[in-house]
Amino acid sequence: MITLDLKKGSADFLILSLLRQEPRHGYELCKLIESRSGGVVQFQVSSLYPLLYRMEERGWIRGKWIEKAGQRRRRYYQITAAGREVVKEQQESWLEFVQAIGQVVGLTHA
Amino acid sequence: MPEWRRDILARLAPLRLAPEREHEIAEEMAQHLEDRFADLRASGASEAEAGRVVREELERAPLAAALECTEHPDTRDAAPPPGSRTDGSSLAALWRDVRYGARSLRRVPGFTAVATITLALGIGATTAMFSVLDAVLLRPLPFAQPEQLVRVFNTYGTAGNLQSLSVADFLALRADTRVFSSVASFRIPDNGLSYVTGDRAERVYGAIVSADFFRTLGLRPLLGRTFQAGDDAAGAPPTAVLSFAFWRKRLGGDPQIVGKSINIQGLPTTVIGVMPSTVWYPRSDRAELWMNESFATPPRRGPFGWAVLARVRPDVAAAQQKAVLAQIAEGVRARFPGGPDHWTFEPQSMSQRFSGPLRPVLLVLMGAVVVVLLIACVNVTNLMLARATGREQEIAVRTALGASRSALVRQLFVEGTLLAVLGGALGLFVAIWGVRALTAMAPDSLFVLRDFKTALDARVLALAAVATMGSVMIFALAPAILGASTRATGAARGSTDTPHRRRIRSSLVVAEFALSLVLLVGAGLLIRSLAKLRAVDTGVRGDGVVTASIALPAIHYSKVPDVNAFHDRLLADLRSRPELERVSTSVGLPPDVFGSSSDFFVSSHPPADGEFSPIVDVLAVDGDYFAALGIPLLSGRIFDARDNPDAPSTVMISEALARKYFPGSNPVGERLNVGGTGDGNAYSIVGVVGNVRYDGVAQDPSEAIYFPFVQGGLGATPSFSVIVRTRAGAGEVGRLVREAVHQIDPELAVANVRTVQELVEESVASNRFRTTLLTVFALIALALAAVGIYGVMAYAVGQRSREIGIRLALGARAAAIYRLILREGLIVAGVGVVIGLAASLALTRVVTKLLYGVSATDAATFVGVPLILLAIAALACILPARRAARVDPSVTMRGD
Repeated sequence: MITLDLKKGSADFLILSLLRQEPRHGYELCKLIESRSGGVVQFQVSSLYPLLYRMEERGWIRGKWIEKAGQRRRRYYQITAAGREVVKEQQESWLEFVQAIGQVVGLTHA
Repeated sequence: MPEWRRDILARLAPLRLAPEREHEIAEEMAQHLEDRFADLRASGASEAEAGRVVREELERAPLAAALECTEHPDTRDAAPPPGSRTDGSSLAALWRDVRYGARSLRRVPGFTAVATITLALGIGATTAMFSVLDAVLLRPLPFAQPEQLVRVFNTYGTAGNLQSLSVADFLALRADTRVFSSVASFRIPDNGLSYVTGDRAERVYGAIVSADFFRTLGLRPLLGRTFQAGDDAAGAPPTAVLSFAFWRKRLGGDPQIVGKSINIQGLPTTVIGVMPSTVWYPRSDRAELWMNESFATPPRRGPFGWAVLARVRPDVAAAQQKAVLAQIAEGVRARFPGGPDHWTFEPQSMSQRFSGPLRPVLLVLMGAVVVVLLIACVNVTNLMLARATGREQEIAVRTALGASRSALVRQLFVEGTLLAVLGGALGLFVAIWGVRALTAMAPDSLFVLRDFKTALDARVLALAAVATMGSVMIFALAPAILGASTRATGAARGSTDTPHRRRIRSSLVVAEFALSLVLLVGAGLLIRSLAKLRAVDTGVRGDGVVTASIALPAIHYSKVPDVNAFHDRLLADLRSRPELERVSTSVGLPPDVFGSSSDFFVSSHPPADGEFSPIVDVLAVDGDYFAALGIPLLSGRIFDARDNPDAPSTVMISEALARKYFPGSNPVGERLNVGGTGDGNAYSIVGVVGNVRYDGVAQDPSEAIYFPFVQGGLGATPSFSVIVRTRAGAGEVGRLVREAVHQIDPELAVANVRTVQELVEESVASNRFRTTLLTVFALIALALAAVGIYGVMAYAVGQRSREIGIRLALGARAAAIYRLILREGLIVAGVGVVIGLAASLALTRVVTKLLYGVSATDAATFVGVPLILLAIAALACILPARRAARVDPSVTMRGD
């Protein structure tokens, strides 16, 4: 298991990527990351929300309380233009990084 | 389902967020946990199991610390937390550390204030006291080669019993040049000299010195010259050297003053020189001018009233000096047989002479100051240690975020430096103020403090800087290393306080209590001693008695009938005032003005050859003196109209003298020879009165001989005090006396209007001074120790709130919690008190010299002070104990 909260750069990247598709609330993000990583990457409440608040403060995402019929209100996070910029940048550097690692350790993409 | 909101709110509390924000976060996170819990239940977990997992996840990271950076507006601008690897240039990093440090200090105003004040007191007190110590003990005397200068005394061989010299002694010492290259004498007329301008006579204070005085000291004049051989020859015209102050204040700084004549004591006196403002010897309050005196070959060895100073030849060994002085003493004895035959000359170095009387006081005070500084440093160390432990979460998170250990140490160090700079700056103000207060508070008897210009100088400032930086090293680095070395993973689970560190903090508090106890015991002993001194029976009933002093200038009052005319008219005037019940005069006053002293013997038992007559206090008084001061008549009669200037000379004696020289018999009617042999010096005793202390409250009651003032004999001087028993206040009496004096002689000044209580207070002024100082230091130490134990106990309670919660949940009563906390605090304080008691017992001999009427192991002090200290410790523990007893079990048991 990778405790992603310690690697904040990559955690930001993960969350921003997930929010690029649609606004989500915290627990949803948590579950998505866990399921998509096959349980390898896990977030807890105490690591996720500080991360979200910081990203919100930096203007990458925006949280909003939304009430849906028959449900209590929940806070949904939406990616901002600045956030999209960041994720694009990170995506590039991440790909570079992965390629570099691959070359070093001898993995090649067919 | 568990109630998560409360849990989260409890964790957010340290952030002190705005309530809306706090609730928003709590709501969001609680929803998350509820969803998680529901999911776990849905997947088959039991309620307890699901609860446990969710709680674990909540506790995985310290929430408050993680939210710190985003939730505090003032930290928003500091993009990366200090110590992270993204730091730019080292200067920028330092600046960031400083700003971050300032912010974190601002966030804990209580801690910052206590630490700053603690440091300021420690540094300020040390610097102020060191400045004074430096002036008195360390700075060289303002003379050329001061180490060669000695004062020479007569001694009977018992150490410390130093007497002044006679003219015969001085001339013999001056004549022998084997040991001393130069010898000079001086004396200080108690009542000053009259300086007459026009028809106005003023009292000025100066010294009567021999011609070699300034040459021996190696002092040069500002204008003109100093005395030279021949100026003091018999019949030489009078000359004077003026002080800078006299020249400037009284003569307008006349640059042509040298060679001009001024009127001193009714004689035209030629000014030969002016000294620079730095010259104040022999006493700053008695150094307006210096006059010469001539020395004729004396007819006998005594009287003894001259101070002698000498410059020792650099190549003379101590043994040789001693041998030569013994030879000179032998020579004087041979020339004046019948004098004291077992006296020898004793040299005492000038520096010892100056600092000697102050040395024990200053060393005790310096010790006290060092102790206060130590306690201050210990206290701040403890505060920092407690804070570092409390900040482990923060440190752990920063470590997790990539801060290196060195960066963390640097950050803590910067914080410590900020505190030290704050404390040091405030301490400097305390020091400046302290020096002023010390010199202003110093009584006249500690005139050395005034004579040396005590001020903060560069060296003392440097000392303050060293003290400041020293305490930074002590209190900042220790916790930085201890704090940063905790393993991030362990600490991240919640703050931990290792038993090891708890022990360190407890031992620091133990040390504080031990040190405070030593100081408090010292202060307690001095306070008891001062109380004893104040309670000493001076032999008079002083309440309702006011005194005032009058000095008649010799120019107008050189003859006894003139003095008597003034004296009698003044008494008659004052006695006509109905509000003044008893009016009298005396040249001496209790508790420490004895007028003069003289040798005497019982006429029927003249001293055998080689036997020396005893020396006693001699006072001239008016007969009403005894009634005015309530001194009882024990036998015979009081002076009255029979003891007039034309009648045979009479005396009264004190009980002490009567008991010693007339054991078992009534001395009334017997005769005493005072100041010489033969019938001309014989006086009949007419009465015996109760003992009075004239040599200071700490001395035994004086053996005294009283003379009738109007007979103008021994002890009568043209300066005397008026003593009034009255129901009127001192101000009113002063006004009436001034009025009466002015009517007789408008040029006369009335000085020193005092009640007898004030005279006693003045005589214990130096005792009071040192007692006040030590007490202030002891109280500072006590306050610091109280803060120290409070800090440790408050922190321990915070750490153990879970344990306390469990105890309360298991049914412990609040009283039991109080007992638990108090017991812990009192054990720490108690150990300190026991160690302090042992240290005090070992150190008491240091203060023995300063005590009067109290043993250095005074039981009351050694029992009372520890009790006070323990009571203070208990008080300091009550606040944390109360907080502990109010712990809510349901909250704390769930907490970390």
